[in-house]
Amino acid sequence: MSFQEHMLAKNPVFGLGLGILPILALSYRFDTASITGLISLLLVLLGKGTLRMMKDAFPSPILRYVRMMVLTFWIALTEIIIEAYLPQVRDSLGIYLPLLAVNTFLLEAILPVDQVDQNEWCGSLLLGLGYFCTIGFVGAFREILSSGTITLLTLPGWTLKYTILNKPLLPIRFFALPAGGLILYGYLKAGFRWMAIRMSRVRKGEES
Amino acid sequence: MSYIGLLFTFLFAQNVMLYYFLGIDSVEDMKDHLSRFLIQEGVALIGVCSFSAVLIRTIHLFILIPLGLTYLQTVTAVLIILTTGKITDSILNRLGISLNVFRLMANSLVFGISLLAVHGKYSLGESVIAGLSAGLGYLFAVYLLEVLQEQFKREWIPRCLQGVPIVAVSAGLIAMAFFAIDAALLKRIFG
Repeated sequence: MSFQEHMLAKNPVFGLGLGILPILALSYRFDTASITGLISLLLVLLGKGTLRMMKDAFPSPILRYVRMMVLTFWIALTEIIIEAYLPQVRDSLGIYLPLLAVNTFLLEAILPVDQVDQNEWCGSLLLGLGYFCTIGFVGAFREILSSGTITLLTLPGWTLKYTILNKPLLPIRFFALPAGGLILYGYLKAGFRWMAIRMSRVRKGEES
Repeated sequence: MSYIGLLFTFLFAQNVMLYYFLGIDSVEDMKDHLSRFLIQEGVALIGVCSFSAVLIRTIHLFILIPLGLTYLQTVTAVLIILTTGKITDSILNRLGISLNVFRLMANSLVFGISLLAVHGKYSLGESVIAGLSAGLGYLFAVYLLEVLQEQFKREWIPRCLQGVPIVAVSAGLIAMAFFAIDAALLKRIFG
């Protein structure tokens, strides 16, 4: 399977349907979306490492509860650090930062593999990067559509923002709303599916 | 806000699934057995939601704030949800009902409504009603989507849009309709 096919068919959000909540709730601006993606990537690596070390200490029936607690521990630590150094980021993420503890993508991504696999870390990193790229892409697309700008970074008293859509092209504010997010997600998922089908057809044609 | 106002807010104006997107991750898992979900898991979900919301709010209000331990809010909330889930599991087992309780605990609706109760500074009574109405709002949204899905089986839909994409687009349109019921208007009507 090529890299493009991997990104389309096995995309954590549009292919596997994982971690939809932050995609819908936090993708109204590129900076919040990309920060969520970055935190998720970090949590995948930290959670995976911790769970790998603790795997043999717990019997498998309670491992799923441990998985949730490990994620919660790292999220609580992230919350404390973000609140101390980047309070405006904490405000923009709101209740959705602690909610990462029950994120289906993170719970799946940190799941340890039974056999020791050399590519396990590489797989987790790719999955985390896939999620980061997807949420970043949706965030950029939604912000450009809804306000015509792209906000790269927000620090206290300083914002790095570029205007993309100028007159006569006008942004559609509706896409910043929850309803707009759902509609955009539906069409993006359909688009990803169309590309995956098209790519597999091309591959089959080349093989035959 | 009054209890009725809160109920209508979480049912329509700020429906937990269509406005806050809480529990939206779990919809895909349960679509094959939705009628069973609505009866059994739905009732359990409402119970867990209300109970954990009031418990988390109580602990936040009477233990974490006075001791200055608010940074432990997330850890405490998840521990409470896990405990509530286990209690629900044992109650359901005694009643002879077997459910995947971990799916209930990992549902973002349970944790999300507790966080909304804490952030919204709800009273204990309001937390119970918030949990109850959030569960009802969630079931209402899931039911609407199920009805739509049944309708879509009889219509021609392009292959790429079949399944989740068309449901998401429809959910967006329902959310837009609910958006017309303004929270401020409800507050004015119900106090």
